[in-house]
Amino acid sequence: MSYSSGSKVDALLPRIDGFDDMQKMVYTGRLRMSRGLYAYVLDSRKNKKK
Amino acid sequence: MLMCSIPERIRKNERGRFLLMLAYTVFFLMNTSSAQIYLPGPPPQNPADYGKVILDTYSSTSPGAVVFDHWLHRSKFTCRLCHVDIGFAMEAKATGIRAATNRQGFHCGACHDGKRVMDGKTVFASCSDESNDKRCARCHSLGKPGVREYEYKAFTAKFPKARYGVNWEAAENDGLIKPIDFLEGISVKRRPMQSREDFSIKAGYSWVNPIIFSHEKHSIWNGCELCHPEIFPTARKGTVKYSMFSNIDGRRCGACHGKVAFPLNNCRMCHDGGPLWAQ
Repeated sequence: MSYSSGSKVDALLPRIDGFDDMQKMVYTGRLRMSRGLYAYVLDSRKNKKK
Repeated sequence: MLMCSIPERIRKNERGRFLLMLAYTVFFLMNTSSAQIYLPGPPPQNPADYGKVILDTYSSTSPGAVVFDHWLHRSKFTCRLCHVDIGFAMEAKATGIRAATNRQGFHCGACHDGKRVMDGKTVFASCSDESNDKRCARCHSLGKPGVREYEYKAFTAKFPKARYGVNWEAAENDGLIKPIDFLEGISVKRRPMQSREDFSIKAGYSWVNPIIFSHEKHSIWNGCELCHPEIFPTARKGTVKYSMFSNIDGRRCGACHGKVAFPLNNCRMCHDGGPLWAQ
């Protein structure tokens, strides 16, 4: 994952940490999926260019 | 010069033929048994039980275990909506559903909030303080016959059927179901998804045809993020190894197929034409 997107995602983590346990679990899950998908898309694009 | 007499040569030939036959038999049995291992067991006899999830409750004061029927919800919503936007995990006990989370508008409470209107009806509130026994039993229904509002047989009576229950793809094509992919207040507005091309995946065994993977259908129901990268971690061709072992083990295709989506022993749904011996 690129640095900029990684740091954008990381910037959300302290905000999520401020939520209660349940919200934290839901939003951390969504963030994990978004982060994973973004990395996947970057990987696919890199793969296409080769 | 002959090394042995003619009767002895005949005996040797017979022995050779016998050994060859034995080798063939062993080879045949090994192949058959390996095929048996590759083939998963059949799904439940009653299609109403296919995809049924029993949610054990955490609280000792709870009204009993919840029975969740995938067939009812999948007729109304895409997989992506519940498993991505709402955040239901794809594995048992990983979501952490509680009455409190439902009341806060998470999990079941994302829709079941007593306010949302679906098909012209207000969706009942889950785990509401105002719930009575009858209301609780709509979900907490394990071992309570007759309390559920929808019954599989009546609900799916007009849906096209496949070998194991409803053919959901045909039901959607026929306009009998229109699974929604957006929930106000929960989903994020996105651009319509570009059509994904179907592609062929070489089968690992010579006795089945290649897989025609319907990328378009999968992406409409699942989005991208339900499968990538957690179930299929990379787009590099040949990197992700598929096998019926991993599928039966609940990984790769088996994350959905064999649990909710059509079962793994419905060979011809993926392997065009099915196994070669069945063609």
